[in-house]
Amino acid sequence: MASTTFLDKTLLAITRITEQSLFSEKFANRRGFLQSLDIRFQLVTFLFILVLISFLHTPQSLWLVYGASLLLAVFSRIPLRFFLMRVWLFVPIFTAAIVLPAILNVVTPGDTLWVLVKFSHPLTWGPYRIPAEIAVTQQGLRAGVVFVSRVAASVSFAVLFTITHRWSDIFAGLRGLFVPRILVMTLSMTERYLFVFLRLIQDMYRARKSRTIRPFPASIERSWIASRIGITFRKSVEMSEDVYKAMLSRGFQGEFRSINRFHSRFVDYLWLATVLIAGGILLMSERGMVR
Amino acid sequence: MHIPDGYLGPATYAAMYAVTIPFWAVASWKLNRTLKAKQAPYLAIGAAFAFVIMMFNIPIIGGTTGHATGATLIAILLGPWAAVIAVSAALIIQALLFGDGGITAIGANCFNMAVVGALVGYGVYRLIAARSEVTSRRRVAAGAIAAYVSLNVSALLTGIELGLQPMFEQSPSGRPLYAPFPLSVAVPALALEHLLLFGIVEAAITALVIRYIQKNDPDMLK
Repeated sequence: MASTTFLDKTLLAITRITEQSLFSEKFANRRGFLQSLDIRFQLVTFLFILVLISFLHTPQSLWLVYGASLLLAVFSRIPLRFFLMRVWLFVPIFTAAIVLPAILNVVTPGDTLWVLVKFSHPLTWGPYRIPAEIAVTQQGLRAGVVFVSRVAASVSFAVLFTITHRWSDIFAGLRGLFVPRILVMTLSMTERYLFVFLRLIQDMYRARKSRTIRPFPASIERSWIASRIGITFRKSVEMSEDVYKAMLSRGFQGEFRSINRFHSRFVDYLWLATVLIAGGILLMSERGMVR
Repeated sequence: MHIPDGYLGPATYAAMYAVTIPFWAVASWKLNRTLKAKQAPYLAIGAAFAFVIMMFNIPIIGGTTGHATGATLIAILLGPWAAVIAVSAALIIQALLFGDGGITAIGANCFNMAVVGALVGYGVYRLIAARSEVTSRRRVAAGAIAAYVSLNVSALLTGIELGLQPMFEQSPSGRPLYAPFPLSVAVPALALEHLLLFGIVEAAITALVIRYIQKNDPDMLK
């Protein structure tokens, strides 16, 4: 017999997505620093920061950028505890866990810091060679710290961006940055219909869970899930026809017009200049071009 | 398989954007000719479907569960180019709004899962299905094999991209700056779990959904 874990996991995954959407709406409505800026300037600066992070080589620079994300979170009225939990669970902690073998001489050879295990002789297995001493190396430790710091700084800014803006504003900002309208329209509609489908799946799974006294064998459960995917697909095709007809009846002729109007202010230009200059100085000082 | 920000160096993620953009352009051009004004709602709903396929957890062994990525299934149901755009849109939404996969890695993730996932999956499916009856068992087998092959090719490419990082993206002293594992570790790590587990889950779901559609709405497979 299969357990009903698959029902719970699916319902939990749907709840998590809805929760993320609600949190984003809640924090985006606060009167904080990032929320007050023009979304177009924010898209450009956050993309610049993510690219900048990918070019930095030292842990100190990455920690500085990470610290800036915490400061921005505070000024944007995001509770720090919530923000730290959201950032560190799951990607940076997962990264820290998988990077552990890379700090050893087995993966990253270099100057030995601590010897962990000693064998009588080196072991060889095909292309893989395990040295007589397994040790943490200076180069491995530094590579691991840089890697985790880079991932944490990147995720921190990505999370900060998504929770301080309404999702509809993000799509409007993309449109304002000359991203093809058909792409923005598709993404924007995807986000809306995603929640329609999630509701549909949630209803199917809740109905199933409420009727379950004893689980069926796994093969029957798998067939049931396949039928739900098939039904969801059939409904999605019907819905795309209905939506298209509804759009036609409202005068849609294949062209997309935006109702969003953007108003850039002095503070937006100041923010843009600050980020570009600070990022440029940080990168140049790391490369030894500025002292 | 979603590569987060920080795992790929600038040269790799820029190259992956450069490789992926032409596929997006070709897909948009082809769909623009066939769907015309209908393309936004059609693709948006296809993308939402691509997103929610990953929500369906299925029981595997004991209490463990897994889910499919659905690229091959969507390519069989919507066509390969619509699948490229629909799965890409789902991946972009996941990266931009949910932090699933990096923003700098969108090019790489879309290439691995949307472009390769859909085109390889569809190619293998057509090759095996040939001119068989829509309701034949051969179609079910074709879907399963195509899903298994395409997911494993996607995983292999992801492993290669990650494994190349310590070779090409180093500090002046030769220290790895991004994903630190070499090809000899990254490729087997990703390939084995997909060959032995996730590929089988993907194949099983694809086959079961095709069988369901054969019984209830075979026109969708034409």
